[in-house]
Amino acid sequence: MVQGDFRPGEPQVPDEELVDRAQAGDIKAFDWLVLRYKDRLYGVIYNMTSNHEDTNDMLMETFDKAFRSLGTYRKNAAFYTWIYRIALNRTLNHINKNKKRSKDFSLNDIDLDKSTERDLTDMGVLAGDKVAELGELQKKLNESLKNLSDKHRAVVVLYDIDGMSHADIAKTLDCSEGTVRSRLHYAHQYLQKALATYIKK
Amino acid sequence: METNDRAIRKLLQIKKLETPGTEYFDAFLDEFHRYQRSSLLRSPSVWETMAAFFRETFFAEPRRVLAWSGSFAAVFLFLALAVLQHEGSSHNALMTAQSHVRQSSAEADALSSPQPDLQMVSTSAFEQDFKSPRYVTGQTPLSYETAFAF
Repeated sequence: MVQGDFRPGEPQVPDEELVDRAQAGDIKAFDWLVLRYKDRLYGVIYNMTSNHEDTNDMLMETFDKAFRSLGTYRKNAAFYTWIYRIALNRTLNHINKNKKRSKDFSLNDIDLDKSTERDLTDMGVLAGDKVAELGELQKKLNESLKNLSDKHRAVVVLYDIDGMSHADIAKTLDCSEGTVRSRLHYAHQYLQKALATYIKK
Repeated sequence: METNDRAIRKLLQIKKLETPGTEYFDAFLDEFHRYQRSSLLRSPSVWETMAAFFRETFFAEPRRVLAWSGSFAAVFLFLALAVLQHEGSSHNALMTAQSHVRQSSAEADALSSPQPDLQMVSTSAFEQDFKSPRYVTGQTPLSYETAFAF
């Protein structure tokens, strides 16, 4: 989902209008923003921390902070890059504070659908005992991501997993597009080596 | 290289499937409201408020850090220059005072040291007749002129 996409049941209203309404005191409008971004922000924080409990706490804090700071939000940045920035700053602060226990994983189970299964089989990742292989792959992926620096991991999470554009990542992380591309390049180089056995030549 | 990038990206899509389940997301809004209410009940301490302010203000965004450090550097530079300038003027005043003191002490030395045209009087001032004026410095009587009369 990108900015401007709506889900069934949601009001067909762009973010900025919901923000205006929330700033005018319509709390329900902020609830719609929470519903719109909870999945994506969960994914970003979870892929940075690899821990469900921490992700839940960070997600609550992110929306709480956004709600409290809504009065100071100016429209010189898109709402979604603004809230992503809050989420990432909170997450990076949390990771820095808890460096010692950063190796703790609290992973969610993989809910494998048919199309992903087919993709993975085509890539040669899955064969035979799919569940066992998938568990091993999940562990390897998380370890590889954890070995990246926070900044490199953030770029990989936002670009490769969340599907954000280079320009939006640059705005979210407050750096240039060139820096984003460079970090992505080095992160991919590392991941290619770390996950070589899973990447079909 | 591009093929590898695409392969890595595809592989990372697995991470999208690591979700806590629909129950979690369905209940999220209610949980969030509960979280907000409980955080309202707990008022933060002064220390927490200050720490949050400094964290958000100085460390949240790199540009802000630059702006704040630039401002601090400018204020520090201004204060340092003001102090240096003040010290410089004090130094000048001190130098002037010292030169005045030096000049005064030189004059005092000139007065206390015997001058070539002055004559030392070995007898006490009380033993002399007071026809001529006598100047007494300490216990040594001095006379500028031996036969001075008004």
